[in-house]
Amino acid sequence: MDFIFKNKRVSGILTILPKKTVKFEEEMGNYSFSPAKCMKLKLAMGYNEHRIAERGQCSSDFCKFGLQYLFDNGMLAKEEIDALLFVSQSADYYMPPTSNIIHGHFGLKQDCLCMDINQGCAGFELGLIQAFMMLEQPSINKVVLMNADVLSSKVSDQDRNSKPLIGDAAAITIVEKCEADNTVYANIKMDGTGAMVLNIPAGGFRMPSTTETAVMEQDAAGNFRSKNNLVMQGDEVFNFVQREVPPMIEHLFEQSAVDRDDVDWYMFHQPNKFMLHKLADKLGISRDKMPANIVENFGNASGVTVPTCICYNLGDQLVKGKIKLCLAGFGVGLTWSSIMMEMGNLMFNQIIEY
Amino acid sequence: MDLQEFINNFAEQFDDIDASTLAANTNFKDLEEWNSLVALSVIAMIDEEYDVTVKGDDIRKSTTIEELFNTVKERM
Repeated sequence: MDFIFKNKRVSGILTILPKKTVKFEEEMGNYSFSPAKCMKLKLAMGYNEHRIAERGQCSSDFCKFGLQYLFDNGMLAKEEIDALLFVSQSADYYMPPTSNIIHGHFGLKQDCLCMDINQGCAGFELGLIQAFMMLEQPSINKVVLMNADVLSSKVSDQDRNSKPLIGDAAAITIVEKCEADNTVYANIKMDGTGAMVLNIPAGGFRMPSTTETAVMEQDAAGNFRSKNNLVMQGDEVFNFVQREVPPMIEHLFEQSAVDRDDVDWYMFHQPNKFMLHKLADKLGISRDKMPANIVENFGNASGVTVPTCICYNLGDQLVKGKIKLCLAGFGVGLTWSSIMMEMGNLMFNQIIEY
Repeated sequence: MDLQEFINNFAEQFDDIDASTLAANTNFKDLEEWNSLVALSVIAMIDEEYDVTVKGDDIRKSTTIEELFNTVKERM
């Protein structure tokens, strides 16, 4: 499904990372894998260190910290927020929506649309599409998009499929109307037949958490997980990404009439270095144009990886100038989405720690 | 589709295995160097070279390289 948006822009991105850093070597001993094989895994996947939220630090806490920072530094005013989007798979509560909790915490105006969206790896793209659609309304001039996830505690310590790469983080992106005649091209696709390829079996209404769902079980590859833990069919995800993402990006080139060489940076979701390199090769794009350094430095915090990648790799470049970006997210749902847009002259594009 | 070429492509997915040490009847999962990462590389290689999708399950069901070769051949 294709989208076109006009006179909309991103005006600032702030990434909020947990202070706590855990190194791959510290966790290696938990995996039923020889040290030599672990080191090979580290090298190929690009595992080094990842950021993990402290016990009790929720998604909303990272968002609140980031918003407070923006208010304190005059980068955002409370009364300008017409919509508050919270995209996450780790909400504070089943009810109420986390966006409403944040709305209440800051005493934001009542003429403000709060919305929680359950989305993961494509959460930044889906969130931007939602923000752009909202901005079509005369009453909405500025949308605050929050992507946040603290899923690390849901991943078993003895799961070498997912534990080394998981990260916790949040990002706040300001999306607003603008006069400039810029066009944003976007697309999104879904395949619900693969909905359970990435899932947390217990904890929802289908299978409430009990003492039985907390029992650790070993899988064929020697990983231990309980039904309360996140489980990923890695090979299925890998196949899905290799199959669906390249044609989606080829389609985006056609849709936007942009040549692949004219894109300055490919800011893709960060599952691991191995998959990103395969994607770059398959698309005929230089690996240098597609940063793959987020998992090794911070971990994969699902929908937060693309804003983190933008803040970490482009920083002030996006404040001082304009850059043509191709964004893409792919994963849980299954969902895959991409956006071609020019981004630049941002008010801020930085990382802070909480 | 050539079996020897498939074996050569298969060997390339390992860091340090000489194709000449692999044969059609090699039980590849018994190789010291075999791991889940090589499995993903093999899946990617089959996709790139033969335009065929194999799943982790197909790899698990195959014992020898030739068995995997036959699975790929059937789907071409």
